[in-house]
Amino acid sequence: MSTKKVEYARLVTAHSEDLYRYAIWLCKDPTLAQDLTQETCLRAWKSLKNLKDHKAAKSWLFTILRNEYSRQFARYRPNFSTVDLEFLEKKDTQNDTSTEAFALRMALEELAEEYREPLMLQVLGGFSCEEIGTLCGVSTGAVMTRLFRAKQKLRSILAPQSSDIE
Amino acid sequence: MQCIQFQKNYAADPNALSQHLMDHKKNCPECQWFADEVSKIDDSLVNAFKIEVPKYLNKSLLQIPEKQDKKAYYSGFVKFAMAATVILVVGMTFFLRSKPLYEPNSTQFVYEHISHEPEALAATEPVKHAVVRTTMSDFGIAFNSPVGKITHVRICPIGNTHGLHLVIEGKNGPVTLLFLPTLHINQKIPVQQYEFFGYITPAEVGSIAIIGGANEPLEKIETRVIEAIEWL
Repeated sequence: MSTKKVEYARLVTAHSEDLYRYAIWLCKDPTLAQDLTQETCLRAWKSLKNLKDHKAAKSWLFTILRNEYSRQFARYRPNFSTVDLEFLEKKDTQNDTSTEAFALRMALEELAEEYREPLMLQVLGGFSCEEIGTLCGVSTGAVMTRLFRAKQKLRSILAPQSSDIE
Repeated sequence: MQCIQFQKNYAADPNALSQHLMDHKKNCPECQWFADEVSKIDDSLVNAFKIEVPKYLNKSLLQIPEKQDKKAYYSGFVKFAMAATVILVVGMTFFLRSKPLYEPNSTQFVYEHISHEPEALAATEPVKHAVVRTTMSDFGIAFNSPVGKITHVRICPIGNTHGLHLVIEGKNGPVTLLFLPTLHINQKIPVQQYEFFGYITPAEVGSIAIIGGANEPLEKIETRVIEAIEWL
């Protein structure tokens, strides 16, 4: 196996699950998320020589995924009238269906995009504020502020009585 | 003040706290409680998105390089096949176009044509200049300088095409000139059949057969003709 293939296999093994989960969160659809992950890895394979710093491999992959999502799926508007209801039921079977998880996802949906994305990159990708700043094109300080406000907002939605503490 | 700083930093990134803020947490019950609350939210978030990844996804992703290699191979093979086909077609076209229609039997054709028109060799009277000029012009050539007394001129079917049949008076008898624009040859082909001696020589367009009797100085005639001829 060539060095490139070994490196690619290492990247996929280490990061494919995080990529897929992030893709799920972006697409809200397992099938689209798989397509997005496939396309991300395909692009990563094709441009693996561009990855200079292997420590930054994960953020590099997430950048590819975000770009690919913007390119392919941002304008995707499914025609809901043609979607089978049974299929819709099956779509969410892989998610955590507990009440707490449902409430949390609903709370996340209430967050503004600028707060939600850094939070999801931290939760799903495990990125530092600096890495999130690079991915989103904002300063580290701005990321910290957004994360703080995002969690503050979540606390106020999920446990209103406890969010008064500051 | 330190509580606000701690809570902002902890909420943003619990793993990037300064030693100073970590020390503050140890001595501040309120911040300890805040940290627990944030940690619960973080854990809940992680759990909420612990989505099961399809088992085949990783395998499918790992197969991408092989699929790309195959794709590249087939793409390369298709490109190669297409290039080979184009080269073959171009080669065949070039070969067929450049291949003389009667090259293998060109000397035979020349001999047969001359021997089947004995009247052409028998003529001794010069053909009228206007007739020569018109016939040659119809064929697409002209003489810019005299080549000798022309006793016969005619456009004849030779092989699968046409040639201009000229007879001029030579030093030792009649000399036949056959202008064959579609017969492409790379070098002189000698013609020696019975009483006919000469050769077919490459010309600016196609070739010219120059046939006379034995001992006829054909090279001189050739030089004269080549200098005089103009392809219209």
